[in-house]
Amino acid sequence: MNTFRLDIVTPERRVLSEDVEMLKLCLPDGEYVLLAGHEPVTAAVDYGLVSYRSAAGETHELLVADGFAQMQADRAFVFTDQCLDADDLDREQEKLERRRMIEKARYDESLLTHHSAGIFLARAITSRKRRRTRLK
Amino acid sequence: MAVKNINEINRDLDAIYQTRHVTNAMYMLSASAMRQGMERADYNRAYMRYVCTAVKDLLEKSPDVRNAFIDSDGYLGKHDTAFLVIASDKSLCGAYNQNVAAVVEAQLQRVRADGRETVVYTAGLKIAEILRARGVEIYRDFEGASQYPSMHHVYTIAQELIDIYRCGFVRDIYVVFTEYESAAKQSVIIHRLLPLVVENFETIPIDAPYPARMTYEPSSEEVFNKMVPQYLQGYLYGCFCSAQICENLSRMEAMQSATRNADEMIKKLTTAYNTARQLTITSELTEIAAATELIRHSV
Repeated sequence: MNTFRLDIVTPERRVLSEDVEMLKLCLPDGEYVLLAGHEPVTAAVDYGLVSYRSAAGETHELLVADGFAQMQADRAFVFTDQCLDADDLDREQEKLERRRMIEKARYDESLLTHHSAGIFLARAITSRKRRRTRLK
Repeated sequence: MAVKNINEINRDLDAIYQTRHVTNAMYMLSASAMRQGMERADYNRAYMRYVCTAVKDLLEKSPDVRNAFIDSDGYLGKHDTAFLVIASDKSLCGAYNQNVAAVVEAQLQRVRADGRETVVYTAGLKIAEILRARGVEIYRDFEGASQYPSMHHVYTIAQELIDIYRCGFVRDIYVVFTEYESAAKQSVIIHRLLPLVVENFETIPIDAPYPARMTYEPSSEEVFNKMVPQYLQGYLYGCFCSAQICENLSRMEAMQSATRNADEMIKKLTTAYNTARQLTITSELTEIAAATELIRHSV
């Protein structure tokens, strides 16, 4: 079966780039299937499942947020702000939560380090100034 | 006297060495954060090229597409203009935050002089602090968004801005951030986020033109309604990446300059220390020689 290139992208990363046989999208008025050689189309994608059949014949499902998809010259793009592996949502959710917790911890730690460095610098400068004043 | 000087110089040297360690470490951390920011910004630029091309193509093929994102018909007259100010959560980055604050303050004065009300959102603890100190009322601060730009933060911010715009709370929304052009050139810019400036899309260069016949499913209006939030989120994410690069670049410059100053002071103090030490040795030798002479004469 003929294949075409599928790219699923978010503003921060490329989630998927693979040759696929079929792509099924969730549109506001129902499901929409794209095959190789489809006419150029831009479609509004609703929050829901996007499934695709890879060149090896395996079907995969992804949960995507709102966005839009575009197909032209045997290349399809799905632009969305979030995309999760629907086959293992619990693990994906866990990964997402862990990522947010790490981000939060990194942020807190970085603020703390920054404040400590600021205090340290201020203390070093003040003590030097004080010594100079005392010497005068 | 000389001994006391040596002790004082030693203490100064210790303090400066420690300060130098801190500034040098901060320089390296900023350099690493800037490199990561550059990678994110490069990817985002490629993403935005695709999205902008898609928006431009849709606007060309369906020029009649008009909705709330282009015309602010839904405005109810509560507030006129909202500003999202993106700067830093932290200090020690030279005049980075002050530059953004000065531009925001001038712009707010201009807008208020026209008799319009303003709402200010900030992304950055430090910029919020500076603006509050200058008498600007902050409506909401998105803490943590500017330091590690992520889609989680950007999504929250974009949704809030789209919501206040769509419900008629404001007439237009601007984003203020520092744009990275090159290592030598960064400038604070004010960009209108909503309503969209259609003319901006007309000037976008297209790598490969789209086919003449493009179908829009289910309709061009529906597609446009989904495209615009993607464009806004992508654009905002790019703003955050650019601001983060500029912040780290400013911090690198500030820390490099501090490290250089520390090096100069260390050099001066080392010279002073050596001179003081030499003086002590000379004075001790003179004392010993004088004492020896005295003993010899007395014998």
